[in-house]
Amino acid sequence: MKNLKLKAARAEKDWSQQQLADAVHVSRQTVNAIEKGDYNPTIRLCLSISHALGKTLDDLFWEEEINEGEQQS
Amino acid sequence: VEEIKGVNYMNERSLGMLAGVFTGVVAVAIYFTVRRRMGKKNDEYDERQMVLRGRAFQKAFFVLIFYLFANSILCAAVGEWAQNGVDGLLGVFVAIGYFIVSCIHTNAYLALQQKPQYYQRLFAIVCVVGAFSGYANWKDEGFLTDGLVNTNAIIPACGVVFLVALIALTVHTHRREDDGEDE
Repeated sequence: MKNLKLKAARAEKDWSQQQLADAVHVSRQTVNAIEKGDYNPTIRLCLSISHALGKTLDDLFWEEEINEGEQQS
Repeated sequence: VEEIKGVNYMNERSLGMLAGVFTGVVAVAIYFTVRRRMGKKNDEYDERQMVLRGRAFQKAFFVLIFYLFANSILCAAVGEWAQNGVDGLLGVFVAIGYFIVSCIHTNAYLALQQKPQYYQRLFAIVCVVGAFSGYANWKDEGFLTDGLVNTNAIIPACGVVFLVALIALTVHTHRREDDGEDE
């Protein structure tokens, strides 16, 4: 699943993927993979990204649980 | 007398190979010592790259196991096709080649500070050395002895592995440049 919250937060700061990658000491491809949902980062990297973008973990990585019953109705 | 000459020849060969391995170990030790004295950090990979490198290593290991298994069946079915040890070494090259290409494909080969141009030049040098050495060996004795692939084929085979790696790295670098900053 794509992480649009992260992409939006990055865009809000007007940062490129490379800038975010440099800020958290990972490769640009890693940031790209996280945004595309191809890679699940560790909690340590999630924290680094959150700090770098000035957001909380919830802002960037929390997903509301979808209740199957609610989804069907 | 012929037998003694043959034994001496094999000893020279073995000593030559040992000297090559020793030179390699010394060269790597000098490289890392110089790097450390210059205050350069060891190559750093990020967590995604570490995971992917681990996976590639695991798969390369199984590629080697499969190769050895297939080779043993081939040898049992049609007989030996290479001199003692050569077939195993070629299998190691196949596994290393698989590891390198797999890492390049997933952006996990180069550490964060490393530039592809440096490795492209390095791989090209190994290819050229492999080609020259292979040509000299081929002209000297050829790659077959009594119908079996001999040790002369090892260096050109190593060159082929690095040629494949060079192509993979070049293609991947161009593709990465084309894919833009933000997909």
